[in-house]
Amino acid sequence: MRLNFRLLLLLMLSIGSTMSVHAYGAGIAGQDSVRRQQPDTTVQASAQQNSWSERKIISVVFSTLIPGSGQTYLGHTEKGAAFTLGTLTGGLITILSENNIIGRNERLDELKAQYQVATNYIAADTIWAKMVSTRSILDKDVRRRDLFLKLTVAFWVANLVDILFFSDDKGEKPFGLLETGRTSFALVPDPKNGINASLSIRF
Amino acid sequence: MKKSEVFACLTLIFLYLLVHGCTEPQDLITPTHFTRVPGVLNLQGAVGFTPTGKRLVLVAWEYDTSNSNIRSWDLTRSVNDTSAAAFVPLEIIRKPASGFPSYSDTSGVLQSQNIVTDSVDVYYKIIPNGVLNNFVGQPSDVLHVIVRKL
Repeated sequence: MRLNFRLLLLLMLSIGSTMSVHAYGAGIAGQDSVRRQQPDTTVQASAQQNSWSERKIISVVFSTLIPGSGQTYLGHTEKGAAFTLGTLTGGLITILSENNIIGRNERLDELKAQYQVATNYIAADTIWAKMVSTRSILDKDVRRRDLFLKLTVAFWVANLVDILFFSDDKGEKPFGLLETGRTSFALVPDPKNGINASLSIRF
Repeated sequence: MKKSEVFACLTLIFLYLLVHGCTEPQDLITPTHFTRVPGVLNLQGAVGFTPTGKRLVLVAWEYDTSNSNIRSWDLTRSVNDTSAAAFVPLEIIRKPASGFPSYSDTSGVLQSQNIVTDSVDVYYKIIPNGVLNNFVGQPSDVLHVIVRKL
């Protein structure tokens, strides 16, 4: 079971790595073809569509580190939030279960030590019952951790696949952009003045 | 180093930590307290008389002789009360050189002149004591003997 899970992870790892490296490689190759094939404007336009922009590369790095952040960076905020929340929730439950496992392993160590020095049957049997109970809860923790670890990895891989193949760049938006029907507010970086706050009202 | 290589390395490290960072659950140890001291087997009691005419309860039991970690048995008794606290130590029975142990109870509570009701319910419980670490083994089941007034 555990071996199968590791094999599955390694398979996903190899798929993820291969996809990302190939996609990036395709982007580099696309850029090279752009440089070589200057005269034909049709080919150039097509190659530029396939190549990776700097924003795309940054989004892939973002999504690798924090799932969903790359999608949000490219403008797919709802999708990005879903990936982030899904991965963080799965990761949080995984970490909590892992923490429980560590704690229960320590408890088992303590009970084993008490069991070894027990001087009568009744005390030893009471400790043994506690050990069996702790082990039973530990098994549940392990099952929960493995389940949510798989879910977290699945979210992470799905996030990578999405950012590599299905998320196009919607363009850069000013930070803190708030838009209503007639008004918009944004914080716009300015090389001279730092950050400008921009408020527009349409009448 | 190319960005793609860095990306692949980061992915590898992340997944390696993810898989190998998981704690393995500890296995339970093999329980030894069940067989550390031989248990009391086939506990039996019989009511009779001594050659001098006193009431006698003969308590006999067996044990697994292949397990040598036994030094003695604590014989406890309770009269008309089955609660665990009511059992009081009566005798320490040493391991016999051969055969199985037994005990003849001729206490005053068993004699007719001391019995105020029709009968007396006497309960016995045997607790084995081991040699190694003076481990106190599993108490036997309670033996119930009814002594009737003559």
